[in-house]
Amino acid sequence: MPVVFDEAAVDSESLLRVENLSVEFGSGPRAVRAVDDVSFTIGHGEILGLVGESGSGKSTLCLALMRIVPAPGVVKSGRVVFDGRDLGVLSVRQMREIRGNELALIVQDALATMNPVTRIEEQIVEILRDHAGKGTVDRKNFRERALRALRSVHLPNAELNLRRYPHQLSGGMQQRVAIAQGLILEPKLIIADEPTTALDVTVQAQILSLLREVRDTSGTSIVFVTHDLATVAEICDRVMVMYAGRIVESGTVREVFKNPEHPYTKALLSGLLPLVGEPPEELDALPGQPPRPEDWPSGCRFHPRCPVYVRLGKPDVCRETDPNVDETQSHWAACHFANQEV
Amino acid sequence: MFRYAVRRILAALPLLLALSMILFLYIHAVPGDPIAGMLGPNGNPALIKQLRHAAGLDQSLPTQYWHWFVGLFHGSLGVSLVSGQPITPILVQRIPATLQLTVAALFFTVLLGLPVGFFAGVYKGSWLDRILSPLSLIGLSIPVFWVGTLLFLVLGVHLRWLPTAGYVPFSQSPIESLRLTFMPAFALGFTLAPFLARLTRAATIELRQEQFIVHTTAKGLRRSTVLGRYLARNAVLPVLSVLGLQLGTLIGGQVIVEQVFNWPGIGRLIVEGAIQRDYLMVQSLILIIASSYIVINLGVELLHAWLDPRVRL
Repeated sequence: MPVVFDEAAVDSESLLRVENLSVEFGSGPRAVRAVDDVSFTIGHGEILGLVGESGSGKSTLCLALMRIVPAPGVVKSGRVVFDGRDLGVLSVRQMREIRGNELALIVQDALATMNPVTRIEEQIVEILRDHAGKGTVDRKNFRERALRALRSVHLPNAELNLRRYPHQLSGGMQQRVAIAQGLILEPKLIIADEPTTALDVTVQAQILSLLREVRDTSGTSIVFVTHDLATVAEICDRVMVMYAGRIVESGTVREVFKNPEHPYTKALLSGLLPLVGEPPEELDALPGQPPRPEDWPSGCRFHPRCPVYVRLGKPDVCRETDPNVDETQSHWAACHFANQEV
Repeated sequence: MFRYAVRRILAALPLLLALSMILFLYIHAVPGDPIAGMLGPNGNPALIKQLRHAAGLDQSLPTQYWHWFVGLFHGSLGVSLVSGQPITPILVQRIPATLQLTVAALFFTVLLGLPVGFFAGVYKGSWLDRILSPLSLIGLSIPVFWVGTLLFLVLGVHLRWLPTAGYVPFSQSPIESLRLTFMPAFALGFTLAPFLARLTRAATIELRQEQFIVHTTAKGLRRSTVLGRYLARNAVLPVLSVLGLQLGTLIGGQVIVEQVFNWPGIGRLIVEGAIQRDYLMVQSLILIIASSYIVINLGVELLHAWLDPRVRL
């Protein structure tokens, strides 16, 4: 049922709209669901934080947004509407033209994404060349643009570094080059999957301010994936918390940080050191491990680790039914006891 | 890159020296006296002694080595025990034929092996791969003399497209020389290519899992860029060093093909020398072949460094 023009998809408010997206690995009865029925939107110029522990499905969700989930993973259901187009019905060729051009992906290990045997110049220019129409190849102009891109991400000695190979740069420089690669065609949306996790703290701060600068000057929207709540507080407008393949809480950064509703979010926040005042005797740490996709619990997936569930005497509802959420609200949490004092 | 090249070349020199010593000791460790062996069971002890003296075999090993070693620097490999002729001119005459066959065989090996392996790897599991991979396995198990004889019979005897055997120097008649090279070179290339193809296929498949290949999709790069600049350029790196070893094997391993196509290369000289116990001839030939191994591997290392900047440290 291919939809060429979809009235509902044209949306002046949001740049990206994700509807009931599910991603499975494998097929048949042994299929494992890594992302389960996820819906959200991102506005123009908005920075959306996506938080969760390892294995919660954050990275798979990112890949699904770009439609590059590696086999045996498949997008099982749902739609991704990007800038008025349903990405699910586009041809391979149309999708290639969007990726790297309107939709850019930046990952944690920048070095691993670069061709080890070609120079930085080639790695940036090839993106320009492959997205340029036929006959518009202009080597000198491309070089100029590559230089400008490197300067825009504040890479020192851009001229010199253009001639270098990826392994000759430091980790921070590599990440800057990766961002320059992502930015060179002025994408509408950047998906940044833990771009600062591998960097030391000062470089981390520089990369964060660089991303915010990109948003402020070009109006680019950013999906910022991290497991570090402090980072979210620093650059995001809105935040979604993921647990076991689902979004469990969503809201503006202020709402979620000041008034977390989901016990999981509360647990994550209580694991942070306060910036002011006396540090607590002991930091609260969540017991247990996040479940793996093949053995997600029934009902609310957080209930086996949930302190509220225990405190309430293990109510059946947590084990038996999925929490209902009103996703039209600005701030919501997928918990049966979200708005009750417990 | 230049400094790396100088360093590698300097490192190869002691290797050559060590090679000459080990080779010398190895040849002299072979039991039996070459002169006595040549003269047979009826050899006159006085004559043996006289000939041994003439060949310098009665001197101490270090002295013998020293004489041989100094001779090498004067371009003299000694005198053949059998014919009494100086060895260097004989080799100078034979080496061009061997080199020509080696280069031509390498050409066919690469021409057949690399693309087959690469595309079988890129399209792993496709119909192309399912045809090419068993074919390369069959190719691996076909002996070179069989391919040579088949070519000889079909192209040379039945169709009469190509001259059946012989050698004409390239400088004398380039076209005739190439026509004569085709069959032996193709036979060698055909038997070496399957190995190269399987290696290339494995390297390509392994590479496809790498994040920088996967990430080309996220960058929206064209298929041609991914195949050419990403896959091909990186897949060739692990293949290269094996290709160097194969090249070395090619130089020393042409004996059978030389026999089938009456090709005057150095492979047959070794066999003749070994049968006739012409130890200096064998020693000289092994020195040439082993040195070419070292030189080829040096070349491969430099090529590798040129293609992969991470090596030039």
